[in-house]
Amino acid sequence: MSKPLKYGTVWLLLAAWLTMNAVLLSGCWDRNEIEETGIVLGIGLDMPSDGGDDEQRRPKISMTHQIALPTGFSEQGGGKTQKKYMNITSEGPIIFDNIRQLATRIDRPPSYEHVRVIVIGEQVARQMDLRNVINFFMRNTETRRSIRVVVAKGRSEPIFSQHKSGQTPAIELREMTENYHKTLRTPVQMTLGNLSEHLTGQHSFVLQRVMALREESQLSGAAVVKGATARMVGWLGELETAGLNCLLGIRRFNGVIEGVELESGAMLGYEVRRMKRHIVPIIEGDRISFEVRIKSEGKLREDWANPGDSFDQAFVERAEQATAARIRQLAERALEKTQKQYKVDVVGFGKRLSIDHPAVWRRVKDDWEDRFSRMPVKVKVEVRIQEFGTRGSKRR
Amino acid sequence: MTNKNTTWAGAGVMSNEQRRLSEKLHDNILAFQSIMGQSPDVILRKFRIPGLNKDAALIYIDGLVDKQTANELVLRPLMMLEPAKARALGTAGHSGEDSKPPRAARSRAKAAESALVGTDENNMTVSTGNSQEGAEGSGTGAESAGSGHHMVTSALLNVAELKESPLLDDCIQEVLGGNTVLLLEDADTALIVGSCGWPSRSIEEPVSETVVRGPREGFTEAFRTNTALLRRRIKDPNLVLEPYKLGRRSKTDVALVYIRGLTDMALVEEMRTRLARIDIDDVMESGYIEQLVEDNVMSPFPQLQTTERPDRVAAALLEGRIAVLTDGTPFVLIAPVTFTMMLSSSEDYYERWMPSSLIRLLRYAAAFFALFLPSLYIALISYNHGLIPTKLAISIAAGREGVPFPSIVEALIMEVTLEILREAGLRLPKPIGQAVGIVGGLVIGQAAVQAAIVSPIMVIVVALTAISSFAFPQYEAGIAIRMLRFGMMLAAAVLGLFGVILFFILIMAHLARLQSFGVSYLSPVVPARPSQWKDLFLRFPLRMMKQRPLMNRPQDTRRQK
Amino acid sequence: MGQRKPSAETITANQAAMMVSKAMIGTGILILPQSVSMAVNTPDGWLSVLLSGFVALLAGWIVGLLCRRFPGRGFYAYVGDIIGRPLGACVVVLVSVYYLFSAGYLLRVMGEVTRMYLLDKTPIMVTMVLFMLVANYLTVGGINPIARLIELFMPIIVCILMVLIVFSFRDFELDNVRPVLGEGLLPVFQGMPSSILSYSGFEVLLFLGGFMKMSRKAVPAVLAGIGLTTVLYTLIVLVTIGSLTVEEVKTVTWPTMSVAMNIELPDGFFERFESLFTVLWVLSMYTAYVLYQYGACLGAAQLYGKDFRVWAYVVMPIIFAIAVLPDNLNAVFALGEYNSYASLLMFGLLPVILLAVAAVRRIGNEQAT
Repeated sequence: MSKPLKYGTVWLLLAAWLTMNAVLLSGCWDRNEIEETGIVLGIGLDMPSDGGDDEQRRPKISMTHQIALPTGFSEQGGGKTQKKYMNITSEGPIIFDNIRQLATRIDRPPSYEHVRVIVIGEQVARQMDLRNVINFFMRNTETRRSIRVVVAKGRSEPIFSQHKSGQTPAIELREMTENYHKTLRTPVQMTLGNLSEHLTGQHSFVLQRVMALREESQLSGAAVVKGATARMVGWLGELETAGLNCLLGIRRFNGVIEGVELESGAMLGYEVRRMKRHIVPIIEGDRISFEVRIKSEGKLREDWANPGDSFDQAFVERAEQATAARIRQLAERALEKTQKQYKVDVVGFGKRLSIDHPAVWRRVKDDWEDRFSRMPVKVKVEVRIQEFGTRGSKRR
Repeated sequence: MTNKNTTWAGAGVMSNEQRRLSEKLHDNILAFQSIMGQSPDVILRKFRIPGLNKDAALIYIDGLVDKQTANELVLRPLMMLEPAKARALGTAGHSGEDSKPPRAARSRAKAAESALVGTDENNMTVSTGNSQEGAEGSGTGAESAGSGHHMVTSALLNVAELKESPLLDDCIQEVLGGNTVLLLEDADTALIVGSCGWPSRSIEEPVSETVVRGPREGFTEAFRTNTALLRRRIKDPNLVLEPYKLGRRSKTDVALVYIRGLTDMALVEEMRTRLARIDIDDVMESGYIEQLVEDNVMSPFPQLQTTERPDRVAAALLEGRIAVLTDGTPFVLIAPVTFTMMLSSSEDYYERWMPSSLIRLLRYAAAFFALFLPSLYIALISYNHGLIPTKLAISIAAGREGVPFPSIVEALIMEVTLEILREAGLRLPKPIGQAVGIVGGLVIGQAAVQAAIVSPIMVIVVALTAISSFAFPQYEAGIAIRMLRFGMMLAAAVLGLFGVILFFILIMAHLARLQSFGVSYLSPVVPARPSQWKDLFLRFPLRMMKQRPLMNRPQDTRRQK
Repeated sequence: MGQRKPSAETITANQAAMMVSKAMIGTGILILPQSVSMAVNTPDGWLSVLLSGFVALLAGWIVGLLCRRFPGRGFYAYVGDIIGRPLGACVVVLVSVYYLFSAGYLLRVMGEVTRMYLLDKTPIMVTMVLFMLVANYLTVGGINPIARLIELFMPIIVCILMVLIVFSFRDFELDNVRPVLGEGLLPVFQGMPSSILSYSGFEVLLFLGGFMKMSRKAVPAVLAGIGLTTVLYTLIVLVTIGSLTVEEVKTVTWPTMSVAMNIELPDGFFERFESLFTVLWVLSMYTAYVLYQYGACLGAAQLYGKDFRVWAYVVMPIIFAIAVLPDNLNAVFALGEYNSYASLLMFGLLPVILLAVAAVRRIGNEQAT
């Protein structure tokens, strides 16, 4: 046992000595106690109030940090009276400058590992290249790619002061973004990672919109961003967003479509269970047109017709047709706005073309969105009502 | 009783010339007294055997012998011997006082007996020294009248263990071992009567290894009791007990146990070599043997298993391992041992496979917690708190608001306090010890939180760690993990999660290099042979465990049809 | 160390397969998606990786044949026999130096990844030195502990990778990988040179083969090892492209890490998966590093005599010097590229030449081949 043990002892001593040196002489470099960091929960980006340029005509950006105050959360120190967060706004030419400024104003170095949501103010979205805006966050290893990004109507700062029920605004907002599958009126949530992917690929896309109301924030509607310019080009209202969601055919939606029943003119409430869509590109020589087939299945939730007899198959069919008509209407409105007015392709027509007809795609892929704005699109809708709940009819 | 062929490990102290007894009783007694001194517990009883008209002396050590044997079975028949009976015995069936034939006949009978039982070693309660008697008997008519009396007396002694020896040192050793030596006038051999009978603890449930289901017998400090307990479980004649006397001054009885035909003889040979190397004054406990025999002194992990349970030893022997019994301690050593054995308890085999497997998995989880939890806490709190879910992170931060220390100091304070409490709890009398342990822990924890010395979550972490470290069935492994936990905490304190993983790799590398008697410590996990995994993380149904573990390289691999 | 039989330092075929696989997985997997996508420019990068795997299998087969021809002897021992002592010595020097560079490169990458994702302010030297010391401890233990540890860690590493793959299916969009072969096969072939670089590492079988108990299993072992690596690589690249899109993959520094950053369990239960991934990835880098260091020591021991353990200590500062050589991350990547090209040359061509020469000169165990 001589040789191995000797080498083992040599190694042991060497290692121990080096380790002791490293540890005792300099110490733990990365130690970052959790109670000493400022846990940033949300970030807001705005144009600065003074118009947006500094002395050297460089654009500035204003940043709001929402930092958690842990004592507000704990049992002993908290309660209703103490605030759980604080907001700090700073201004500077680049985002990183803003962050460094924070060090001069609060005692805790900010930590971005727990950021829940980034809110981009409308002006910033319209005027600044989004790729530059998020560049800091993409380079930083602390920020997760799963942070949700939304656009605020107006400024983002007020959003961070709205909260109900003793929650922090940022956390609440994050949870609201997850609710997209309960309604058709807001688009799918956008994570920072997906945002980056779209921007890198120069695809156009939509972001959720948040608005500050009197007492709370509301998340509905969408902001349309053009891929080529990486800037926002406009809003989509709630109904237009609903139509867009139908076009996108996202599976997990559970939204409500109100239809107008043809015979009696009464309103119907139809809850979407499933929405599927197929895009079919139609090539005729040099002309490209698209056909969108939307298929939906759902439940009949509410009707204001009399008697509204769901046991009558004819009624059900009328209801289906009414709903289909409504969906078509919404979809066409959305297309109108995005394709014709904003000239963007947020539904994915280009992608479909590239998959089905790669040769054609290669021809048209430059200036795609411009060309697309001139292409005709036909929408066909099919609705199937699976069931109608516990009450079939009001009177038989 | 010892055999002359015993390996006298470390016999250098005694003089190598074997001093022989003289024919004169007086000389013998003087020789005894000069060596043994005048200790008050050495009893020397001179008496006269009326029947033979000879002087005799009985020597034993008070406290070590069963007085009844000495009084009833030795003194009484001899002192009550009538001359007539002596003559009758002397002349019955043979000519004169040579008494060779009866002796030869008796020794033949005895030889026949011992042949039946096989060449088992001398721990059977059959008169040993048969061959010696035979040898002496056939050739030494010169022992004449003395040995004749010798034979008569040995015929009178109704004891099963009887030996003869012409060597003074042997006799002294026997007396020290608790036997009684009978010296006769005109005889240059002494009769040694087996009469060990010292008080010893009764068989109780072992304190350090309790089970819910299973035998509640534990080894005691008496060597003979222990061997008996083993014999009761393996009634195989191939069970071999090789005796040793280790320790120059303590001459502790040690036995190497294995099953011939099953155990790998290379393993036995290796153990023999290592035992022979031991040259130390005393072997107080099996721990001494363990420390002198193990492969790697610098490793925190034990390379021999210790247990107080006979069923565990028996099971180990049947798996192809070997055991070392030590006189004076209930702890038996088993070799070789691997890491997985540290986490298995004998209960695993008595319960059905489903509960056993799940409980075993639980133990692995407990091992993980005991080792990693405090370091993970330190690493996560101080370095990588992004890994904690946000809400939890904020509430932890809230809890730590008032604490002045960084997490490593906090953790060290709590852990060291807990270790001290544990040690203290061991020394206190049983009922108080339990209470102090629990109450102390709770109260101290609570008070510390309120004094803002530690955060509440630290108390939870420490409590969970402590409980997990109790889940180890093998005490030494538990200690190893407890030690390593501190190392890992320091690593976490300097380098966060990277430190934790580096330390973990270090431990694993160490385990990969560690061997116990030629068996890699990481067996049977690696080298990977799925057939060997039936007893690893899950315990497969008993019907499926047909092979003995191959890592012990047994000669007979089939255990069950 | 207390062996009861004379220690036959042998490894099983399973262990050999795992070591081959391990030596390849090392660091390649972190940057593979990026280099491949840069070359291919379509979402078909994973096909390149798959095809490169087949090429690697071929090369590995040759190496396996070479091992089988010389049972019980390591590469360093028999290369002299094949092409003569002086030339053989040159080859040994070349290979040892290659291993030193590989080890240095790996050390540096480990330091960089750790610095980026785990420990920001800790000087990279500290990380690297401590890592080296722990690795050295295993290296001086000999081939058996190394094999055992790799066998122990391999399932863990494969598990982590599978977890990465499975959990990123949430973000995986089939459309990101389509159109498949939209621009034909040419881009796929264009991607092969860069992807085949990541397969370098199987040549460790050259000196491992000498330790195998049953050297006729050398060929299945190496094929299994390379096969496993191929499957893992292809899946990883596929999943990376699928969750990040090709364009994104081209722009991020460590695409696999970014995939890990994307992963999110519901309710924020497990947020920073990439930290966990990095931590567990250290296991993988550790074992690959140990293999390279061992290879270098063995070569040095062959050339200059003396126990390879002495060389392990000697080699440590050399590797460290190589590791700190590059100035910034780009230089590190360049070092890696040069290293891989060297390996292509050496272990693509050399075994073929050696095997041919050995066959012609009838050296070695003829029946085995």
